[in-house]
Amino acid sequence: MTVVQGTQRQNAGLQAVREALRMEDAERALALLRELATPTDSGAAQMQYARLAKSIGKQLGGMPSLRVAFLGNVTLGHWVECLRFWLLLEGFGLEALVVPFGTWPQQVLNSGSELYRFRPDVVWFFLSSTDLHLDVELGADSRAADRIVESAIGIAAKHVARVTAEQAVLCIVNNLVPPSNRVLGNLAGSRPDSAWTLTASFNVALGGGLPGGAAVFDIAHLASRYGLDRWEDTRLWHHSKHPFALDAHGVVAFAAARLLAAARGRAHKCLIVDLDNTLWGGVIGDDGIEGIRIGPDGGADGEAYAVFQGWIKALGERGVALAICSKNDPTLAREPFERKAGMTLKIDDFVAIKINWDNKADNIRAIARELNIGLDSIVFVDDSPAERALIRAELPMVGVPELPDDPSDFVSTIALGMWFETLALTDEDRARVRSYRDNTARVEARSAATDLESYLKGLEMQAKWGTVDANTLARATQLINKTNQFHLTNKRYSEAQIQALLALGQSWVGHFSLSDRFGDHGIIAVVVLRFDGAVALIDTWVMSCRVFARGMEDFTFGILWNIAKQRGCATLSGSYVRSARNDVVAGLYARLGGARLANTANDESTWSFDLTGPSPINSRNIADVSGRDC
Amino acid sequence: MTGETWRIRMLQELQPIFRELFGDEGLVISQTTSAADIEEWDSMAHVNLLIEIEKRFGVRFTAQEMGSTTDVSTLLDILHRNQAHA
Repeated sequence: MTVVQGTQRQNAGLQAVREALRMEDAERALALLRELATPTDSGAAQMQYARLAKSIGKQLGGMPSLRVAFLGNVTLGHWVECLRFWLLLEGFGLEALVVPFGTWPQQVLNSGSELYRFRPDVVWFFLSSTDLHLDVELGADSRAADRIVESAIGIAAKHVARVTAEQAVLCIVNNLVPPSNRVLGNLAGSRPDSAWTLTASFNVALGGGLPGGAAVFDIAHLASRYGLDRWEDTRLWHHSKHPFALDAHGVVAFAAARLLAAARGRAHKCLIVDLDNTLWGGVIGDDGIEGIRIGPDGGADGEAYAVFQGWIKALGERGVALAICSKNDPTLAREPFERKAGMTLKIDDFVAIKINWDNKADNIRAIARELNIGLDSIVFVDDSPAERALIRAELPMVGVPELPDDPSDFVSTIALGMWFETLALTDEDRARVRSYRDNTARVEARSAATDLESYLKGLEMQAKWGTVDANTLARATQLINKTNQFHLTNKRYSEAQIQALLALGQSWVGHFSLSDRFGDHGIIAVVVLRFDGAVALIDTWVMSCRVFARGMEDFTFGILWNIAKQRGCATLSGSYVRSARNDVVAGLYARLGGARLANTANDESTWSFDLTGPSPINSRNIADVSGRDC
Repeated sequence: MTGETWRIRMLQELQPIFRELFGDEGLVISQTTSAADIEEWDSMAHVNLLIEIEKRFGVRFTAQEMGSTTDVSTLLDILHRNQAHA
């Protein structure tokens, strides 16, 4: 019965989308599709979404576009269309190149190939064990098997290195899905000479075996989560070389779209949770501290809420900022964190806490302001459908997962939403929660200080800077790609592109870090300075929102001035290109004393500074300690 | 139901699927229509067509059938055979 209802709901939903398109209301069509579509919908449904996505994309226009080239010996036409749809929901258009069958190695090795003429942003290796010669003879020992794995990883690594040497792009490499049919049967998993073991070893070693900056797409996880029997469609494989079942296309495309969006600065940074019936069972105000269900004493529900708390705590440890937004009595609602047995989360795990009777949309806005992050980098988890609906209506940019009734399913619901994808995990990520908490201490110090200047002085700030190298490349790239607010030109660079800039010698790519008496922020600013004769051009300048309004931009500018001067330049110049998010730096170059070029407009202005004039005043409150412990 | 009546009724049921998949509201198919007559009927659209038909009629084509069904008449033959088995 439910299947029929599901299909009817789908057909009615699709009809409404088509109607909206006929009315040329692409925004509404997209909103309807967003509500209707889930990654696990059938292949046929995904193809319907893909067809509609094409029309919606055309009507909408003006979206940033991603150029992605796919390399492999499989049929990806349907999957690429599917990806187009899921990328549209992430706010991106897709320009795709799927290289013809049997050509991928030549495409990579030949500088004049279609691949390079396409000028991709991303090159996606969709390889199979056949492409990588990952094949073992029965009877081979583990040393022989290791050599085969090593050689297969070598093939992938060699081609990735060639691509990034040719053009500065992000390379993504699929790992391998283990075969479901095992000639050795049950023995396959415990012998070195089985395809299953070989695939598993390959997958473990792949991440570490690729050149820096390349990312692994964990398709093996998607297949195992989906179920190998449903994943494999041997019929479609024999008919048309589709790599997996059409019904699995949505799941894979969704995961790919999430990863690409994260790589392009759309990562989520903060998880805001409700309390009653979200972190524990029951209502603290009604049931009291004895009555709420959490941990083993709370029965099955209590167990489920405890596991969910553990999951949230782990997200915090990997660098997701945690916050509370609850309609409750503030004193009462804090009590479980202090004295209820079974609570995994402590109040210190949260960097912002809004427990009051105010509107939750206002509270979420306040949290975003406090942490200085965009609303679109927030995920809000609440068991109440009414609160979820309110936030979706008031703050459509906030991610609001649909929470199931049973707390047993909370963790998998959040995990399947793939909200917190990232290409790399840096030391700064893991230290972020501490850094946000240190910020709270700074805010308190600030209200204690009588004026801004004495507050800044009291922070005892120390800055370090240097040229980006192997140790700082991952964080520098991450900052360029994640920053949306303090970003003058909105340019994005991959690790390979940064390496290329450094190697060419016509640019300086620098990193800046800041610490104060409350803690160390790590690297919080990155600049790409390009030299062209007598002109030094600030091509890219990004800074983390955690250190706004401390004078760090003045410090950075002073360093840029000196570097340009030492290089023998007469002029330092920079542009401001307006985006939806970078208003905060619209007036930066004017404040720093730049002269705006007459022919440039407000939304895209170019500024110049005369390096023969007096040096800018460096920030008085930040000490340069770069030389001290290098 | 005779074979021919069945084929004509089935053709009417296939009609809207073809129109929607090939994005042509005025498309009219007959028992002699083949992939050569419809420009959009390429290898990708072919798979879309077959999986849509599988879903609507609860049938499953073999790999061999998928490859050979590039005209409406063969499609009806296969659907009829599957119908008989059901």
